[in-house]
Amino acid sequence: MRNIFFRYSVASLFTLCCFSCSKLEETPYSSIYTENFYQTAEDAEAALAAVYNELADLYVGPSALLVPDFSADQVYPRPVVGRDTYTLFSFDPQYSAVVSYSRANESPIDIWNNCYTGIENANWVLLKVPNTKMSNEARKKAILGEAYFLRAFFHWFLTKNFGDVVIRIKASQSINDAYVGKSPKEDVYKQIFQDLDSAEANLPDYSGSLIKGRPCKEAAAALYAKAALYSENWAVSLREAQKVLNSTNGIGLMDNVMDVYDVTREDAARKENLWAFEAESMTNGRSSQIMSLYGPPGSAAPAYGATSYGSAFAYQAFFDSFDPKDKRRQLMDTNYVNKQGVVVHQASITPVTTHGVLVKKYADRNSVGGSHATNIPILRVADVYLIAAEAEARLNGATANAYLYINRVRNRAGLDGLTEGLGKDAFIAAVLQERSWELYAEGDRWYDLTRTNTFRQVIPGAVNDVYRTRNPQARNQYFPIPQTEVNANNLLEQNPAWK
Amino acid sequence: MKKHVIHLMGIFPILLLPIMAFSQQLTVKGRVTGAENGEALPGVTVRVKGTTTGTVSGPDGTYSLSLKQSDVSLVFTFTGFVTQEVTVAGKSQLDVVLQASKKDLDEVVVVGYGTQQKANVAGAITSVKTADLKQTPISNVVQGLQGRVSGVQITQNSAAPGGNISMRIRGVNSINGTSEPLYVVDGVQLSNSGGVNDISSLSIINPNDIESVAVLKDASATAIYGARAANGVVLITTKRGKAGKTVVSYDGYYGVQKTTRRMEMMNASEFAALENEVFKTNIYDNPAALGEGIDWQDLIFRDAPMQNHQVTVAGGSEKTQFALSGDYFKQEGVVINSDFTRYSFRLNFDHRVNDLLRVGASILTSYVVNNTIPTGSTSIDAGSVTQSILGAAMGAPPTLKPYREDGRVWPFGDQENGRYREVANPIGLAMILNRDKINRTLGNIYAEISPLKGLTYRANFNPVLSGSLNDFYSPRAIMSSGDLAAGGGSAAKTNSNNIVLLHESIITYETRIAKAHSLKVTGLFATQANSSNSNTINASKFPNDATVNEALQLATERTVSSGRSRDRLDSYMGRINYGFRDKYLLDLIARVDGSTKFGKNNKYGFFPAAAIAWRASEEPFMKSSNTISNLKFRFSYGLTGNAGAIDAYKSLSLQGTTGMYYFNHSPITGIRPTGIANEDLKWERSLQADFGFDLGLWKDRVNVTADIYHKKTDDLLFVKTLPGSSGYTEVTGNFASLENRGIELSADAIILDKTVRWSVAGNISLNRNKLTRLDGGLTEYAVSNYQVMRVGEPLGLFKTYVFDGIYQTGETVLEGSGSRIGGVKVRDLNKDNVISASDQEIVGNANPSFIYGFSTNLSFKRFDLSAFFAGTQGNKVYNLIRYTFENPLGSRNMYKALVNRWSPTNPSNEYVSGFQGGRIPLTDRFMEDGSFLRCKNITLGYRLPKIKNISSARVYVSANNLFTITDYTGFDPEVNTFGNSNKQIGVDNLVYPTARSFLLGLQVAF
Repeated sequence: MRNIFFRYSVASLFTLCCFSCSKLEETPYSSIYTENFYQTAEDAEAALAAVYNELADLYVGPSALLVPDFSADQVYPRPVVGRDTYTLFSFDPQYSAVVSYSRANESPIDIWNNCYTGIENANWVLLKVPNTKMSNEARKKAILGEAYFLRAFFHWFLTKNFGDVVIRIKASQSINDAYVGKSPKEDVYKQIFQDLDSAEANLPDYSGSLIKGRPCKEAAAALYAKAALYSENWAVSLREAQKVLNSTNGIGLMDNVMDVYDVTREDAARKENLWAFEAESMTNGRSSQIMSLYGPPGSAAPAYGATSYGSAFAYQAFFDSFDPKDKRRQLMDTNYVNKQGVVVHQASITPVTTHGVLVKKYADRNSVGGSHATNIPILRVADVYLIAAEAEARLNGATANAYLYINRVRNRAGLDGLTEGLGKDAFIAAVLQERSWELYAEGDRWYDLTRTNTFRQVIPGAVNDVYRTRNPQARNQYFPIPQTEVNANNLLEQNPAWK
Repeated sequence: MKKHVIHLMGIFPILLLPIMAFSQQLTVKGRVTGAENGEALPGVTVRVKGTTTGTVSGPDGTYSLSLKQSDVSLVFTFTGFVTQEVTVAGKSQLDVVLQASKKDLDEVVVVGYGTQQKANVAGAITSVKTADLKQTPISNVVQGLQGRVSGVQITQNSAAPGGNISMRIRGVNSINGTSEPLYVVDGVQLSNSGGVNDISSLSIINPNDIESVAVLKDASATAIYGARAANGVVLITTKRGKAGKTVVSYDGYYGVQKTTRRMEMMNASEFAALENEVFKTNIYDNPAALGEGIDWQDLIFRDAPMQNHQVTVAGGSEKTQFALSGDYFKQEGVVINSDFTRYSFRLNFDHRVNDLLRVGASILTSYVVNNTIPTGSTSIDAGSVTQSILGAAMGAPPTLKPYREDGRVWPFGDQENGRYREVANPIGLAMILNRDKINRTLGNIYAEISPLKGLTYRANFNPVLSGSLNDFYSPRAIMSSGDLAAGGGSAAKTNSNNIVLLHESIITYETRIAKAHSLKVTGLFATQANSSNSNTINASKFPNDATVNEALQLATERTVSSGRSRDRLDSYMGRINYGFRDKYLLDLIARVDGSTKFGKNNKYGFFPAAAIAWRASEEPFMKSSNTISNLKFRFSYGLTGNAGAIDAYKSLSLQGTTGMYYFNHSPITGIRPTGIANEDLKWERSLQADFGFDLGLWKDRVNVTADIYHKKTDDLLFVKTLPGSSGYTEVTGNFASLENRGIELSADAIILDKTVRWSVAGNISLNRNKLTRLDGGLTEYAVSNYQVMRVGEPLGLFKTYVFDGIYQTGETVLEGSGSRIGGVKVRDLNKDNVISASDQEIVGNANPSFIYGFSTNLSFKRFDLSAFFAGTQGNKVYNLIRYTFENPLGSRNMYKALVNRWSPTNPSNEYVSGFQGGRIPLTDRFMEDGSFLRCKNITLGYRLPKIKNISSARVYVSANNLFTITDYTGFDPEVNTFGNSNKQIGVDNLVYPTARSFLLGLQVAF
């Protein structure tokens, strides 16, 4: 009797076992399955915010500014291993110094990674949000427009730094998707233009009620104009620049150039700052190192912010190149007032040189520690005027229109109009010089020098007592693709000049 | 060979004696004593041969048994003694003297899901007895295994009280997975993370409760644990009660621990002179006047007590046995404000309901309170002096003061105009509360049914219930006024609970066919569910320190997070143990494991193994040998898995949050896929071959066991770097292969066994590890700035520049070196006159040539003296402490040796000049020989003469870590800053130092 009972119970237990051979599926409790995401309007906004997060990452270091500006002829870093590699052109495809000294977030590696992460996040928005149920169709359209705009922006950021790069227009849904080879620069620009066409079609016009931090249609046109200028599509560039400049939606130059960088006038300046990195100094805000790098060492000058290191300065020669009446020179200084109210003279600004010149563009006297609220401009109307001037000149010579465009910028800075009657080349040279004065320390100049391939003439002259020789090679036109990236992707080749 | 009864899950000889009622016809009485000292033996099983009739000897060793007939034999069995058979032959008084068993072979060893006669074991299993484990004062059983088991390398990752320990059985088997073995405590499976700051899951178990530990090493022994077996398995069995006299015993010790070594740092005047040189200004006007200043190491180190007190009550009747114990263990650390306290309670209970059914339980519950202080740093230089209290104490300027005049701690940011705010006041670091309170209950409840002779069904229900609370508070008091302005004090509370429910159904059938064939078949079904929950509240900016972290509502800012996960493992196992004439043994094992954590395409894994063994000493031609008493050759081959490192949900594509971005000045947090799904994710596969032999000489006075193995691990979990252009940095998958080959040898011998008894034991192990493949044809992979993985080489390679002295006046400083006259000169290996990454080379590796341990036990009359040594040979340690404190960056103290630094007038070729302006390069200068031989323990004991009501009493004194012979210059060569990492091995960066301890102990049984 007992034996029978036990046999049954044993048998039934084993039967039970077999029933339990289920599929062993997992239930994620504390994260959202990708399949179940992108359903609501909030999901769509969060997915889009993830794209902007990469923009923020790009500006925290901020590699977006330091990499080009330390390479160019306006500002230089205090010599610190890793940070001075761009100034000295001593980096290698491994970015050894940068990696060893934990400065990857100030390097092209950071540009590469953040841009592609941003692109990936944008690709998910473009893949999923069209199927998201949203009552506000206009907002949904704008979300897609922003994703196109950002994807174009990141691709442009990549190609201007690395030349031929990987085009990513599909989200990585499987491990195989992770591997894509690179495309010629021309194809990258084609993709950028295509995305910007979509962005212009989806984004709203500039208006006072535009959500602060988001691009408008004019911002897309401005980016379009700049990307076209870089890829030497002069007509497209001029067309798009004119779209911006002819806009009747309230955009334009600030009357006083100083106000563009005045954190207290940030919202008023949005008519000129078409698109910027939105820095916030509050706790858990997002900001960047840039204010602290440019302020004097030891947080000595309250006007520059609560925390500053004295890590970067403008070349004295660049400071001296300004017409003294040029208001834009006031965004630099050769002395500062310390906490005790005492003026500290130029010779004592930094121990590395007696010719330290401070850059003030990002100063925020109300900063919280090193966190400033000063937005970092990315696309400015002044830039668009200069793009228009150059594109017009390249297409049609130094026309009246070309003069009109450049003089808007010069006059606003308190300068007279550009010398009349310049030839085409001289005019273009003047525009490039104007761009340098207007856009210094905004991560712009280096790309003017590389796209015009003039960096090898200009840079050796941009030396001082800190950097006595600077000799970029032909290969420095583009940065090497981070070697780790080449190692990780069999389909990707290093830039030929860096092999 | 005697016929032995084989049991499942523990040793319960008494339970097999059924109670049968019959008329009393004849009574035989007697007393059982031990041969050695003539003392009574309680608890000896007395059985009528060929029947189930029997009894157990009482407290005084006497027994009484009723017999139906007088022409029978009685069989006396007692653990640790040779079984004796005596013919009754009509006698009514039968006194028996039992000889202590010397033959190892009679031992029963615990194997997975059962026990086995040691003689019949075909796999590579090493058992460690409780006496050896307990020789050193340990909080964690794993510590007791160090140096005791061949093929097993045990490293104390952190010597902090309750600190974690890493165990590597036959080398490192994984890259990104875990290499820690599976632990099975009374059938309950536990894993240990090995993480340097994690509390070991084994620290909850009182080592005194442990009866035996078996380390399963080869595939045939471990394959029954399938997907979790590739790193080996450690079976821990706790003590159970025996029928007979109830024994009450006390076991306790008290001792004191001291630091073994301190680092010699500059005094105040030397430091001040260095500061003036580094900053090229007169920070200190008159360095010489400053004298010695503060010795910060004196302030953080202390002599710390440790103690353990345990009371055990064990006993029972034929039907019911129990063992009950309570234990209190407290260890204060040699660094202030660190301690570990454990209260543990254990009940083991076995009851025979009737001839068919037995039930029982093991319940182990403990409560641990662990106060930790920050030690161990993951960064170099700057981070070291703020992350680790050791680094802070070494780096703290001797010119500063620990306390203000009113006795409050004085943050460095508030001294000397904040010049030293980047160095933390070590006293302040010690004031950070970081306390874990963990309660955990391990349960095993079983029912065992034997419906037919030889057939047993056992059902186990094993819950493991854990709850923990982490309290964290970093007080305002340690912040400088400048930092306080931004808001002070930060706190956290983390509640976690984890529930593991395991059911096992085990069927065993054992029989002997036609005398020559022994057969045992085991079948298993198991299902295990793990679920975890945790909730964390972080709070910061408190108005004051009054409420510590107990009123988080007072904080200005709070963030919360919570998480829950659940996974399940279903397993099916079959095992056949076959023996022919007890000479030729064959084991066949197969297990199927299915886990929710594996990828969609690989839910189930199959793990087969086989072993054969030949007991040559049982052959007629050897049986007569007087020399060779035991000789067995073993061979095994099999496949095991390692799923230990796959976290739940790892194969899925999930969404996670990114940082936020501000729109209209208010933030939106981004959400994006956290990675790319890997539907193929599965366990690592280890294919292991093992050949070994066991040799016993002169009636097993000398025993030798040797094994040689080759273990190939494929489908290694490797976090592969993805191209950044994919939008992700990495993906976890089965992307690499490695192998371990090795030799293990252990031996023991009884040298004297008369008045003076002397035995020795020792073991030595060699393991060679080699990375054989990385996915995508990658040949080298940087693990850190000084370690790489390279295909064809072992894990743990150091790759750095080669130190070539100091640039002397007039020498040309090579481009790219970032150096200067008086700075470090590194060798230009490729002779291109530029120092670049290509001038780095492999300078050594962290793997020892061999590891070893040996012990000696001497007893004379009432005295016993034992010593135990363990060591490693040939391993390199990268000493980041030295890197940090030979690098005069300014604002922190340096090694005293830098007094002799380079200057134009003192052309040192060792220490750089004070003015460097940057970090010195990582060179082979900081890689040191980590070989050591440590005297782990010396114990002198004395057995007190007979005292009334006390059956035995022993007092002892012991010294632990008494001395260490090593050339290593850091705190201690046994160091593993990155704990459980398989890639970052042999790195010393300011972890908690090993202490020396002296104890006085007492063991009494009533």
